[in-house]
Amino acid sequence: MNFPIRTENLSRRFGRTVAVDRVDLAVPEGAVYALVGPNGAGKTTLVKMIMNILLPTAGRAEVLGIDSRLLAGKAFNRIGYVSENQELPEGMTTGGMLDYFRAFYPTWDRTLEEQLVHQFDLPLKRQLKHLSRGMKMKAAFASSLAYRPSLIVLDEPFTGLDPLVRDELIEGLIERAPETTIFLSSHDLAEIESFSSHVGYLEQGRLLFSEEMSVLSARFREVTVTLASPSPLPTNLPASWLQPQTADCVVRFVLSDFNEQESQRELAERFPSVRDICFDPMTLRSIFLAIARSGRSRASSAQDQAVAREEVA
Amino acid sequence: MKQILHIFAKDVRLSWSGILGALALVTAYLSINYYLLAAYPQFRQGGIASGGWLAQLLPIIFLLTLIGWIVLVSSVILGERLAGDTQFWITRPYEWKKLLAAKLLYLVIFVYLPALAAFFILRAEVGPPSHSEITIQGLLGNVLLFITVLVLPAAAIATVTANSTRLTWAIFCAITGMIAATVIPAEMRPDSVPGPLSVNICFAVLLLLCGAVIVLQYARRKTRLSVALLIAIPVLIFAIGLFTPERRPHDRTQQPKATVSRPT
Repeated sequence: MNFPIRTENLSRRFGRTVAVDRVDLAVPEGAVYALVGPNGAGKTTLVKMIMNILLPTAGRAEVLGIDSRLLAGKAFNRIGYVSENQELPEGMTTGGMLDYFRAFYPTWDRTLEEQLVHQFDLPLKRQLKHLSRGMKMKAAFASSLAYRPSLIVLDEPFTGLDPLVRDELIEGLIERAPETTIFLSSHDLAEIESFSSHVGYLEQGRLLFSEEMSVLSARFREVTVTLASPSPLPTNLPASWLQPQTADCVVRFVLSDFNEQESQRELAERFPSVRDICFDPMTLRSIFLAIARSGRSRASSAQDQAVAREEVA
Repeated sequence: MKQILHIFAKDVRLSWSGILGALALVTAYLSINYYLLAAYPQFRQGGIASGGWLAQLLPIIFLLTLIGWIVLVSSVILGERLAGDTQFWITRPYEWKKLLAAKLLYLVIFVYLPALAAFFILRAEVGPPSHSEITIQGLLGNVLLFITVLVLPAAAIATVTANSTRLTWAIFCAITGMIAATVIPAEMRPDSVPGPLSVNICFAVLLLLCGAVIVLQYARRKTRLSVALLIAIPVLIFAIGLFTPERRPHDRTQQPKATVSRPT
C-alpha cells in the first residue's frame, strides 16, 4: 500500500517545550485522514513539519516519497495546502490570484477552476484584502484544488467559519476526495466525522491512536451498567475504561476496547449483581471528549501526586 | 525564465504606483539639472550654491529618490516575505533561485537602469570631468557602488522582517548601529583614523554579509542566523575601526572644506 504521508519518530521542541513527540503516522493513499486533538496538542506543528514549513528536531517525515526537509519548488505541483493562518497575496483580486497561480501548475484545470469559482461564488474582481474570512478560505481552497493535487493538506480549515461556508468547503472537498488523499487537522469533529475515513488523535504532542474511522467507531462504546443494589466502583479498573462514574445502582463509563462477548463477560465478572448492560455507539465528538477529559484527569492527578510528593519531601 | 518573468510581471503590476513615483523623482532631478545648466551658466562650475532657489531642491529630490528606491525594493521583497511561516508562496511551486532572480531583475530595471540613464544623460550635458584624475568609468563605478551600499543593506533587512513597520524600525536601528560603529572608534582613538584599506574592508564586509543574508534567506529562510549576520556587520566595522593596524594620522587642524554639490 502507498502512503503519501509517513512519519517516523517525528518530534519538534520549542526550547524546553515538546510540541510533537515521536509521532509515527502513515496516511494511506486515497484516505481522508483527520488529525484531531485539543488546542495546543501539536496538530499545527505536525502539519507544518510535514509541509517543510518547520524543521523537525528529531525523526523524519516523507511526503509523496520525498523527505519533507527537501519539499520545495516543483514538489508542490502535486500538493495543495490550506491553513487557517495562511496569508494570501492580499493586493491581488481573486481572479488575479487564480491567474497568477495558474502559470505555476502544469496540471491546472481551467474547467475545474471555473467550476470552483461558481461553486464557491467567488467575486473575481474584488481584492482579497477586502474579502471576509470565509471568502478568503474559499479563494484559498479554489486555488489549491484547481490543479488536482494528489495530496491535499489542510490545517484547521473550518475554524471560525459559519456553517454555510463550512458546508460549501466540505462539499468541494468531498467532490475531490475520490481522486486524492486528504490530510486535515481539526477540532471541528462533527464536520470531519461525516467524510473522514481515518482518524488520528494527538494529545500533548503524542499520537494516542491512528486508525480507520470504522475501527474506531467499533472500538468505543458508552457503557451503562445497572446493578441490583448500589455499589462502589471496583478498584483497579482497566485503563480502557474511561471516565467511570457511579450513581446509585448505575455505573457509566466509556469503553475504548469494545468487543461484545469479551466486554459482556468482563462486566459480569466485575459486577456480580448486574441487572442490565447497555452498550451505546458513540459519535466522534463523544469519543474525542471522553479521551480528552480522561487525559486531563490523568494529567491533573499525576500533577497532584507530584505536588504531594514535593510537599512530603 | 518563465517563472522569473511571471513573478517580475506580478511585482510590476502590484507596485506600478511606486515605480511611477520613483521614475518621476528621477525625471524631476534630471529636469531641474537641465534647466539650471541652461539658465545659470555658473551652475556648471559652482554647483548648488550658484543655481538659485531651484537648485536647493536638488538634494531634497536626490534624498527622496534614494528613499523611494529603498521603499520600492523593500516592498517588492516583502511581497513574498521570507521571515515567518504563514506566507502564501512557501507551499507553492516557487523555486528560490527564480524568485531571487525576479527580485534582482526588478532591482536592475527600476533602480539601476534609471540611475544609469540619469547618469549618462547628465554626463552628456555636463561634459567630461574637468579634473584629469577623474574618469567617467570611475564616476560610474562610484554611482553603482553608492546605490549598492544603500539598497543592498535595505534589501537584506527586508528579507528578515515580516512587514513594513518592522522594516522601518529595523532600518532605523541599522542606521543607528552603523553610526555608532563608525563614530565610537573615532572618538576612542582620536589621534588616527583607519587607512583606505580598512575602509575598503569595511565596505566589503557590509556588501558580502548583506549579500550572504539575502542568498541565505531565499535559499533556506534561516531568519535567526540571518539577523545574527546582520548584527555582526556593525560589530565587525566597529572592531575594524578600533583595532585595525593600518591607520593614518588624523589632522585635527585641517577642517573639512566646504563641499559644493555639483551635478553628478
